[in-house]
Amino acid sequence: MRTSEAVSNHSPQELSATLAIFVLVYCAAFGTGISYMIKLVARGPDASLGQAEEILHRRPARPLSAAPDNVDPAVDLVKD
Amino acid sequence: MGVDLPILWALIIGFGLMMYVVMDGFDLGIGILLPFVPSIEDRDTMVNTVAPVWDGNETWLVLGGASLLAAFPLAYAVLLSALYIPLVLMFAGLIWRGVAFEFRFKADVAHRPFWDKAFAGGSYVATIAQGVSLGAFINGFKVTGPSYQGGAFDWLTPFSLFTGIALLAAYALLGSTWLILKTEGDLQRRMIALTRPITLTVLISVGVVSVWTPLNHAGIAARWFSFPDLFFLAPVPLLVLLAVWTMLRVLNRSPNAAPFCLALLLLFLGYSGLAISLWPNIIPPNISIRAAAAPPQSMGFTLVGALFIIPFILGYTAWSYFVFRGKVKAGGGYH
Repeated sequence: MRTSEAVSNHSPQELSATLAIFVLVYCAAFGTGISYMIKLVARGPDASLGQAEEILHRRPARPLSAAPDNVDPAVDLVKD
Repeated sequence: MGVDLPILWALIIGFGLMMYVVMDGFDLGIGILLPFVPSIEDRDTMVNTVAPVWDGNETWLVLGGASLLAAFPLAYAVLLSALYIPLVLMFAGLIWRGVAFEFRFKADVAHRPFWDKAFAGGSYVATIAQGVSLGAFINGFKVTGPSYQGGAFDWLTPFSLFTGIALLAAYALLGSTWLILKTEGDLQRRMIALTRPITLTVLISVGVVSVWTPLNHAGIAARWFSFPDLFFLAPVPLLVLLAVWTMLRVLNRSPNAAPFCLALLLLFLGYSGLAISLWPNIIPPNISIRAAAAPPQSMGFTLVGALFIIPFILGYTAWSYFVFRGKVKAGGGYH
């Protein structure tokens, strides 16, 4: 079967619009994520997090649990 | 082989979809209910009740989609093409809400309302898109040969918009009864108070869909209202009424797990009603599971994998719900 035979009959406008939706959502999600990670990197390692108990307390959770709660993920559109 | 592969696969996919609706239903429901709860602390508790389990809930959506491709490739091709726009919106909603879920805990107090709105907004979009898809599915699709021939917006009808709104009520019911089970104090009282109007909204929605569907589709009317099937199928609507009546009663006497069980029963009944209406079609109005089935060799081959993996999914799901059982207290999070 050739690609041209397998193609759906969605219009180019429809496909462009939905692609734009995905690009937008991913840019918003990953843009926020990357800016958050840059903020975490800028802060550097937190010396107080060295205690074993603290690490144990965070262990059974999700990837983002490793990050401290007091860094705001929101993108700073206006830099001071 | 003495196994009826298309039926077995239809049962697996049906089961997977039901698990998805039940499990993602209550965590989408929490997003739907979030705007009705003003206190930040209560909102945190609400989100914390699903934080340890919500990622796993969407496993069933992936399983359903992948199984559909393996077992009923025609249905996969036609349904995903016909429902392209609502499904894209659903995924955009699910992605956005998943991100908001993680970030709302990390955000400054000033930015919290933004992420709460993002979480709620994503939940509303995803739920309405699912409900609209369901309505469009019941309405049926224009198919010629192996491909969808309808327009890009065929899914958008008054009926499908209604099912979109109706699913909001259904998921809100799952969410509010889940919170009655998982919380205590003020938040639980608030949820008990909310569950009553939500239950009535669900009952009205079920009633409207039950009248609207047979009016539009003679085949579905014949399925339900012919003699003697009428007697065999009568328990479904009667049990719905019984479940709603019991729900309204238990809400009066400091309920705990009962409302959630009743909400599950209501959802199961609605799901059964849908299955009774559409069986044996996998692409309404007239393509049956047999016509859409993959060759027996590929169905058999993939069945081995499915039967191997499903017990594991059920096992770890049950385990994680067991580990995180009991009430979630304010301030005690897993995030």
